[in-house]
Amino acid sequence: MVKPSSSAATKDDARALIHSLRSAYSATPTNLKIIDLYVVFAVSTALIQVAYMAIVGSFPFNSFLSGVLSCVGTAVLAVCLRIQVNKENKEFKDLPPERAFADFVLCNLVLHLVIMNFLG
Amino acid sequence: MEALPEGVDIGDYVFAFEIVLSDPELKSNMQLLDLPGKNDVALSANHLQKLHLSFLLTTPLGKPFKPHQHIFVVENTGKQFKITLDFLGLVEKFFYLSGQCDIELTVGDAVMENSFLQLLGSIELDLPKAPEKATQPPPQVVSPYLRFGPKAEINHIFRVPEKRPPQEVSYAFLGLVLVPLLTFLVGLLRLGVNFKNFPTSAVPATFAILFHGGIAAVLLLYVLFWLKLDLFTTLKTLGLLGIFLMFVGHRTFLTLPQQQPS
Repeated sequence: MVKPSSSAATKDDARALIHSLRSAYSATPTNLKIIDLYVVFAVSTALIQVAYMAIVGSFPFNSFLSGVLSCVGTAVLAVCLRIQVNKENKEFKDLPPERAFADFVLCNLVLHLVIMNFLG
Repeated sequence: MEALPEGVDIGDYVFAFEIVLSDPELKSNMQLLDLPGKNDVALSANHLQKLHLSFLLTTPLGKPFKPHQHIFVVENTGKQFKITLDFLGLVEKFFYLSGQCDIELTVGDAVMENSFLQLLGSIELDLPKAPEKATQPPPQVVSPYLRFGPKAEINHIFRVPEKRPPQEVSYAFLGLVLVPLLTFLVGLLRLGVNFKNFPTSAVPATFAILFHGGIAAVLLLYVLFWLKLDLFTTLKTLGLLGIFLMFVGHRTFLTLPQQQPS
């Protein structure tokens, strides 16, 4: 089967895919969206630091490591929080979201104590 | 000493010592030394001669005895310790250095009361000149007591900081790092985040404010730790803050579910 305008068809498909993804995502509860935004924020900050290291150099290497690990660590913690808060995950049905948030805060505090110690 | 059982040989040990300078052509020159008296043997030798040193060590009970330490590698022939110094084989160890050498004898053992280091005398060595390829003698110690003096201070060498990038680059990246934070805040606004769930009645609101203040205090403490505090002060303060935060946070989260509609 030969498509006369295959590139246009692909574009349409992609547009439809993105549209369906967006409409599906808009159904996500707001608190999960906040967490998603937080994860994106942390990961993009980490990426900027990696780009800085690639361009300028990694002289205070411990500072670079602590910066990136702080971002990545807090992103991972946020993902964990998202898993636990999400109502569709039946495993964590018994776990109240308050408890999950308290865990998130505690882990972040411990993580950043280590980060600050490593920052030098 | 009387309290010790018999058979324990502790006490003053008895020495007999002799020194022989032998020459393959001439007859031997033998000297008996009186230990532990004061001796001043003066010998002179060249590399063709040999020096025999031997000593006899007996315990207070009259038995022969082999001490743990004596300076030469001595061959033990029955009761006697012997060493033969063949100067021909030793010239390399002496680095072909002619001149006056002191002969010292050290005998020591844990059960000897009179372990000693004694100067026996001196020997004038006349060794051949060093060949070209001979190893150089190690540098002479200026004073033997300098070995026990303070050593040179060891200074820690810090890593030399690398060249920093120009300030503009750093500021540019600082701005770039702030961009995701701004995006995050703008995104929050666009999602329509609000504080409607924040407790309004007096007591829970106080606890909630205290909880957030506590987190802020911990973060501030981290910044202070980064800037000037040491780990011990930080951990002590953090312990106190942590207990406070646990209490307040527990109360805060207890009040939250009651407000939720479900």
